[in-house]
Amino acid sequence: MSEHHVNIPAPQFSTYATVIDPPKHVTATHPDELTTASHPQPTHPSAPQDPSPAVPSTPVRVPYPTAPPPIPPAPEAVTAGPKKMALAPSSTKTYKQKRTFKVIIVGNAAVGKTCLSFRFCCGRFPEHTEATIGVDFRERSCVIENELLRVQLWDTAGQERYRQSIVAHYYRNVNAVVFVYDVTCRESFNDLALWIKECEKHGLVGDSEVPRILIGNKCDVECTNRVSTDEAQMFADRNNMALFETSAKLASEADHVESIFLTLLHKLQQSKPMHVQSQDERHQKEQERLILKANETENVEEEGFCC
Amino acid sequence: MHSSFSEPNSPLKEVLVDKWQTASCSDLGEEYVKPGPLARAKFNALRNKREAIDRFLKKHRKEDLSLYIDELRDFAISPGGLVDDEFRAVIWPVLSANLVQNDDLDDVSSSYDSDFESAQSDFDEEPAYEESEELTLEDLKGHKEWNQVELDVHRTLSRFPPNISDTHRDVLQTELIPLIVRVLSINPRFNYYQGFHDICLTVLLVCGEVDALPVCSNLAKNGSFNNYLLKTLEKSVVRELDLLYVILSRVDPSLEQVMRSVELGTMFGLSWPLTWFSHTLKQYQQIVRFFDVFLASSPLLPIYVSAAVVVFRRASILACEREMPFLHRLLTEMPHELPIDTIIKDSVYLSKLMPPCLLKTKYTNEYRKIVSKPSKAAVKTIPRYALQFMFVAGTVGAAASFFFFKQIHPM
Repeated sequence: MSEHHVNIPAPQFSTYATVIDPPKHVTATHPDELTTASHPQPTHPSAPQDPSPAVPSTPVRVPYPTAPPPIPPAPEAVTAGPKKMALAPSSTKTYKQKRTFKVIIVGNAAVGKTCLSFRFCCGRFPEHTEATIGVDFRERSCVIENELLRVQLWDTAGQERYRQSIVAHYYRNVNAVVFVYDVTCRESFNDLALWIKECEKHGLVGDSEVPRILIGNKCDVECTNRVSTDEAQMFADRNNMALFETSAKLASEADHVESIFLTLLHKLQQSKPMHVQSQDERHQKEQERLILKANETENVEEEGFCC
Repeated sequence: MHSSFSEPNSPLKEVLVDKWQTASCSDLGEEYVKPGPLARAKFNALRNKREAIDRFLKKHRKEDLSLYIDELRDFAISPGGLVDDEFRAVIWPVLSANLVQNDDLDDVSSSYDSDFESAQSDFDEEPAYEESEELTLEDLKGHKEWNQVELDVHRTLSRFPPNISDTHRDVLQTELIPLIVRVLSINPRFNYYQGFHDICLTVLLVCGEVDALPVCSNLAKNGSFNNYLLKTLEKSVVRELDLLYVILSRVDPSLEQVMRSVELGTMFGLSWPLTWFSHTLKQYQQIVRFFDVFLASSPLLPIYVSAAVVVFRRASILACEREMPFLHRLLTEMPHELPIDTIIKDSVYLSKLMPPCLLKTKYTNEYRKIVSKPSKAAVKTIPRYALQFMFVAGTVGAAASFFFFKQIHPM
């Protein structure tokens, strides 16, 4: 309690490959806090020709937990408001809130869906992956703004035989959709329209509260007829999706893969639709968020935890 | 070096010189080195069975083995299965040429019967078969599914089978892709699904390239895979897997209720009938053991095996977090130590207690009533002691039942 804590609103994370980030705010408060390390900021250069955005270096990386996640001890300095209850170290009530999000990964066979989910959930690239038959489930927990988010990642079979009959059942109650294509395989990019159509048949349209992102995988592979960033960006814009290009295989891209999913998690955490915000709109939203936070602070003791 | 449990090796080994030298017995080798009465009993039972099969094949070497299809099926189903790949290479072609179509009483189910008849009338066997023989490699590469098959084969062969050289792996790939596409070319209406490559790989490893084609072709034309290749997965394998809950509701109602309450569904077991467990099992010996019994049984037996596997994991299911994703993941991963013979024995027992024809009609209707009216209707459950005894008996039961079978066989 020796240090006065000021609620600084979270910086806006860019969700478009070609959008320039606003200048980074240097946060002098709690530089060593573990929860701060779970907010890597992806940097995207303005040049659209660059297929590999620079990966920012984060000082501390959150270890990849296995469920149930280990709860780090809460520093005393976290408690800022005098009305807040005193929280014991390693108590489950350290977090303001706990939520579970269901994310489904779809795309053609062999574009790298399983490898991407492994990279995010298990922190490694699996050397040998066989075809996914049906659906596989992986899980990881993250802490964002003092909230514990549990991500249930559904890795699906990409072959057309499974798309219509099997994978269809897993769009129900989904919180976000990740579309994956292979930048070296034009057919997998062309088939995205089919995947989007399949997705929208289950009520997950672009204007809904369910965010959708597009990932171009296998950027490490040299290819003459690769899908260009411009082409993919136009497709993403038309379908109201954020575009990312990465490689699940390259170790140097590991942080980028993680930042892609964390960007998605931030959107989920705010429970806002993912769309382009004008400057005025962003300013209004910030003010709304400040008001909400002020109200939230007063009611913090009355809040219950829900999964 | 090809290891075997009894010396000297069978003379048949020389005839099968072109068979792949896979580590078909090394999986068991380490286990059977362990001392212990149970291990020794099982070892002796397997050795005796191996000698019995060897004598049988020698005795009928010059005859048409199809005349002894019942004896071959008994060998395949009884504990230990066909024991050795040398025997499998001879017997699998015979079993696949005489597949159990459906139970004789299946006529009761007219809807399923009409589906099957319509599937049968789709192709003329002989001309199509001969035509596929004449397809060149270039013809096969033009098949619509060649690229997908190549992708799946390449990924699978990067890790399975273990302990073979890269040269052998390359040859396997060179043989496996044309094999699969040749089978798919038998019927232009066949639609490849990811997982069928695992079936063909297992057959290729056991039978070699020459015999693998008729075995896989028979499975595609007359076995349960005919449905999977012709119809949508929704109307074939998913419909079969729904019967899993019907079986469970009679074997273990409380377990079935737990699974249904979290809306678990059947996707955890989707690959089980589609690949005859070869996708989820990682030990070669376990995989071929299942193939033995499936080649010799009703096409629906994999569903009974799925039920037996779920019952075997009852304790883990009840201890698991009661949420659909976690139960799905728990059941998707097959335990490393799986009592195959016990599972098979229970499955065959269940399939006789609830024959496929009754399972699809009477018992399914009863199950629908249970689901629609959530009351404590008194469903006649199978006595628990019947299954528990088999689990407890384990290897001793396997050894004893083999000796019992051995006595009956000369009759």
